[in-house]
Amino acid sequence: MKDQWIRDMRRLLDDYEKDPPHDLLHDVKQVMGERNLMPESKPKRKARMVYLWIARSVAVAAVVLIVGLLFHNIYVTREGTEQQMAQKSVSSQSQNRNNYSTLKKVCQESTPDLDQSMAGKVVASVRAKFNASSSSGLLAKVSELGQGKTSISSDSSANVSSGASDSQGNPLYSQISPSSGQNGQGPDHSQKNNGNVFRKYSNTQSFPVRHRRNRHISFGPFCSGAMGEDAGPAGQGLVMADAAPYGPSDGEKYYLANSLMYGIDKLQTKTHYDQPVKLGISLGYPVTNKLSLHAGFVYSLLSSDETRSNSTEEYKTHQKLHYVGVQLSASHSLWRKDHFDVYVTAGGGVDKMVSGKAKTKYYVNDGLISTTKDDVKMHQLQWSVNGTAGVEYNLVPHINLYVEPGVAYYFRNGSPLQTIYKDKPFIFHLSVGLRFNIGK
Amino acid sequence: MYSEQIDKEQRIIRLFHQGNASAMDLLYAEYASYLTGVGFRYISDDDDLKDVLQESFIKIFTRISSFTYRGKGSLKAWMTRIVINESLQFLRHQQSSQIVRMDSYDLPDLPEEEPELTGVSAEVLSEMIRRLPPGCREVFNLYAIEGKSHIEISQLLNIKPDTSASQFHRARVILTRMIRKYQLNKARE
Repeated sequence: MKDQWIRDMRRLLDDYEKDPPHDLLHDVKQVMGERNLMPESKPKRKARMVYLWIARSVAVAAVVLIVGLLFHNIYVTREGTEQQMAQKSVSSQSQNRNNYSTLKKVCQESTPDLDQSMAGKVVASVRAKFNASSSSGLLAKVSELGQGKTSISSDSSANVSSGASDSQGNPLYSQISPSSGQNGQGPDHSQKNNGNVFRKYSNTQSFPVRHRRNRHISFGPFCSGAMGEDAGPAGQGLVMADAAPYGPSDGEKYYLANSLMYGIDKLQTKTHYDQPVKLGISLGYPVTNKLSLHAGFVYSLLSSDETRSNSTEEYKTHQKLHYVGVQLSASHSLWRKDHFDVYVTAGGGVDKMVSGKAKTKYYVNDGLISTTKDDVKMHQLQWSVNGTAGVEYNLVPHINLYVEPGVAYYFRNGSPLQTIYKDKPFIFHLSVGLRFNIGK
Repeated sequence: MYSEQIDKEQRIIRLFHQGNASAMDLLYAEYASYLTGVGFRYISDDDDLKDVLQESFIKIFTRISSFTYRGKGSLKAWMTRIVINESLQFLRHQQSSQIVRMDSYDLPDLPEEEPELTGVSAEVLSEMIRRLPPGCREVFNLYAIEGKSHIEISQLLNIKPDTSASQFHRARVILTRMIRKYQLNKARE
């Protein structure tokens, strides 16, 4: 029989034993003592759960803080504006007894693009005028709402450091120097956000309600997340070939007598993609009252978790890919009234992966065997097209809040690297952001 | 035999979970020789082998709490994986360019004959495998002994699948030559 010699060889070596090196166990215990390592007596699931809850709480607090700061800034800005307005009104009164005409004039000067019909809204207009001078403080604020989520994920490493409490009075530890356990591979924490498609801001740019008419160039930050999460079998092939230590069977492998024992039955792959997160800034140029062109610079973070396992072995790979790219788009205003603007955008872009990391943990029977870290590279560019429909609300002059659901399509680029762009080329996304207009 | 094996592994795991002082000693007494035999096929130098085994046992002792018993031989398989993995990491560290360099080796011009193992003991065979050139030794162990595919090996060792296949062929040819020579010498005695 073909390759019978391999089977014979396996049988011959199956239970082969050789005397271990002299004093090996003694040296092992000595080194463990020197490194303050000790056997873990029990899995520390409880400690891990506590840790996760702490991490989640911190994440939630951070989101609340950011949102709070954002609204605080808006509130303070408005409050300050009203105070300035009041001061200016008093000053105006001293110079001109006609309060109404003065305020109206101020309003018209500050918001020249305001409709005449809006002129009657004196307070709002005046407030807007003074807002303009302090709006720069908001430039750093980006709100992440809607689909945006922050979650804590951890790989399933069971090696959470053992607490000192477990080692106390434990005779097992008396063989080595006691100390806190730490071979623990602490759980990885990665923030997963949704998001996708840079254009959100470029799109948004499209219709600054009041300022666009003056054809001001606008810019602003944005963030976005894909709508929903994708998870499922990655299908076939070399998933994360650059990072994964093992791939699928080529059908020629030889099975040991006890394949379950050695876990060489075929590995099944499941991949979970986190929602892409995109942050960027874009410039907008109003071509006409309704048409705008936008160019944006975008940073994208793609993260995924892949599990390849069979009855015995399991490889868990957490991959993070960082992209930078540019986006071009055009937007067309459909409907505009008061502070609202509804518009659609279409565009395209290209992204280049600038950095990628993959961390793979290898388990056999749930026991961690090894942890490896690899650099992930992709030389190909990632091209895409996208379209969105957006609603923009003018919070204060020069600052608009927008919400843009949309869809993007990512073209195959020939890279063997498995990404959400490759597995799920159509990505629905929701972008939320602030758009700032520069100019008078 | 089957129930004894289960009882043995489960007993050791239970002792570790209980923090029993004899757990490490018992595991070592039971499996040290076998695991040494595994590492012996990968690591050609005795001092290096001791280092690899030392790191392997440290991992076994400190990570056994995460291990889930799944029937006969599962603990043994888990420990075997650790030793193999440590061996490969050691070789990768020590001979980072070895895999590349071995590509340029000329393959012995021998016919595609399969080695005949008659009269060859496990110890002699292990010693022969150990004497295979680095690079093709890892490939041979992973393919012939561990049952990995060439694709798996290529990803594990960061080489091309074709390279894995050619190195396995090379190892087989060299091993065949060793076995024949051994059998010939033994026949003359």
